Amino acid sequence: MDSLCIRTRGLTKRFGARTAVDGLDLEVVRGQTFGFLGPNGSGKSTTIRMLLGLIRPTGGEAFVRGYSVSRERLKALARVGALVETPAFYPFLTARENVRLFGMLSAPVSERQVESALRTVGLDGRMDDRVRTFSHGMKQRLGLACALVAEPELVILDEPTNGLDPEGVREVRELIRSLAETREMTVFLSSHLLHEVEQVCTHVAVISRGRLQASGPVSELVRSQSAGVEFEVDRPDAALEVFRRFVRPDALSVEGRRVRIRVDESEVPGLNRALVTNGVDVSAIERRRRTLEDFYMGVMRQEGPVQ
Amino acid sequence: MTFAGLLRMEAWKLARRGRSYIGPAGLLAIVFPTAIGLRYGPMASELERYVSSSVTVIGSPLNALFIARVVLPPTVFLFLPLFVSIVAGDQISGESAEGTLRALVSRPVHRLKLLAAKYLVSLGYAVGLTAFLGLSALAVGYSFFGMGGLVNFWQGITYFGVAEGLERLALAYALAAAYQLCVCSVAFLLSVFMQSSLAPVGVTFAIMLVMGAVGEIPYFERLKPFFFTTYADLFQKAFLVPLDAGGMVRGVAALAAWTGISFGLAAAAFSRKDILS
Repeated sequence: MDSLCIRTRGLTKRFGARTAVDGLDLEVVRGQTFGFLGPNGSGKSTTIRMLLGLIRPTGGEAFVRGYSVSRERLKALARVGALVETPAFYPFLTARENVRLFGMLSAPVSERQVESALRTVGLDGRMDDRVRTFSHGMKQRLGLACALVAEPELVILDEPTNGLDPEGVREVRELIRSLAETREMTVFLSSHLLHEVEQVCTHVAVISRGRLQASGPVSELVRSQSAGVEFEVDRPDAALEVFRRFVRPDALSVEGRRVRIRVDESEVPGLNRALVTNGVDVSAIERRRRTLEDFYMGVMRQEGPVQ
Repeated sequence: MTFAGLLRMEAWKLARRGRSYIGPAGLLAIVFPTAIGLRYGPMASELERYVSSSVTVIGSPLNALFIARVVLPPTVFLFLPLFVSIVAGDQISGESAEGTLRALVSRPVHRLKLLAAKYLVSLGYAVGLTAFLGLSALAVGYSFFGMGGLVNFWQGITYFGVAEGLERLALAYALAAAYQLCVCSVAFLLSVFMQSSLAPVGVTFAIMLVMGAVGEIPYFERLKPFFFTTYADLFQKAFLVPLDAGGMVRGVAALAAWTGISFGLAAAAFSRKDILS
């Protein structure tokens, strides 16, 4: 069995003169929880639509579960659950009827599976209510139930926490984690919430302007970035002047009275001395934890291949 | 999912949609006032006097068959196409507008099978709605006037006994259904290209109006046989004595060609369509 659950080779989509996805090479191994990151309009949703056979690539090819989406779409999607952008349902049907209907399109589903999927996303109290009465957050949960009801081996989720309250976001995060850990599903997750992605994903890819900018295990990518140190000072402008003698301007950033500088920790005492010598009072020095957001912002600033 | 399963699913969805019931409700809103108007208005006695001076009628010319006959022209030309295109024109465009099309197509379902299931359900609706018109007109007519032979006013006055009248009506409704299948197919084809569920209805009617108007211009006389609107009144041939079998076959063949070509184009477009909604 192919160990790759998703593979794209030179995947390209053009809409007229605009290139939405440009020669994308992506590999997602079975069992991974894979975060797909990128700014709005970077080509994430177009890529997902090509993976699901909703749109046809202009060039290259996408393989899902080892099958070409263009040539063997039914086999490729046979055990795939998906939530694409804002989930849509038949408003005149109940939650139970919608989940059953979309589930049956993938595989025969029992009433027990329908109820279990609705319970999993916390909609067990509204199973027999018509969807037209649901809030946006409830529809988002229902979309997840539709994606999970046929017990797929690959789940593709496009912004699954959109419109959810903080409690809902936390629940979905736990759900996604459990999909990979207890149900051994492969999860392909597109999200803007970098903190969420960092908490649940084992691997990420960053896409910008339709091109892959970086990909790899979250732990490695985060480690590859210099985390930096934050100095809380009385005069941030003066501190910046001092730091510019030591590092390039793109290694510096300011937020209120906190000046962040990306340097090796061994340089901190020297920097502190330089600030004090130049009359800048330092009230705190804090080592910054490396985050996925740091990595992502670094990649976005560079706009070039990192790995 | 099997094709039979898709068909059941689409039929079930159609049955659950509120807009599916606009047609039957609208037709009843035509049939009832027609019967009430004929029953209590001044026309009843005038009609009986006029008919009895021309043909020998057993019983009253106002009866169930007459109601089923008299509601045919306005509904076939206007109301049935409207109600049929409301449903057929919504099949793809409505799902596209609601976003459910991407949810359907992102499942392991063959696109053409999905399209064919939707199409067949639409055709079934068109036939069913035409049959509903006939049966409801007969039922309402019977409850108001009782049964009797059929008086026909098209191209002179003719009279058919009850049995032959029912046969002629059945044939007329079958021909009317053939025209509705064609309208249904055109609306369904347009539905593949549009994002709004009402746009195919408007465009279908625009096409019908343009074809109807152009067909009346003598310069375009040669094009007229190729317009499906030319066969809108095909049902009238069911009341000719003797029956014009050749004319009916030619009309049905033209409508069948329009129906087939429309679905062929819809299938070709839908199988290559990028689902962007």
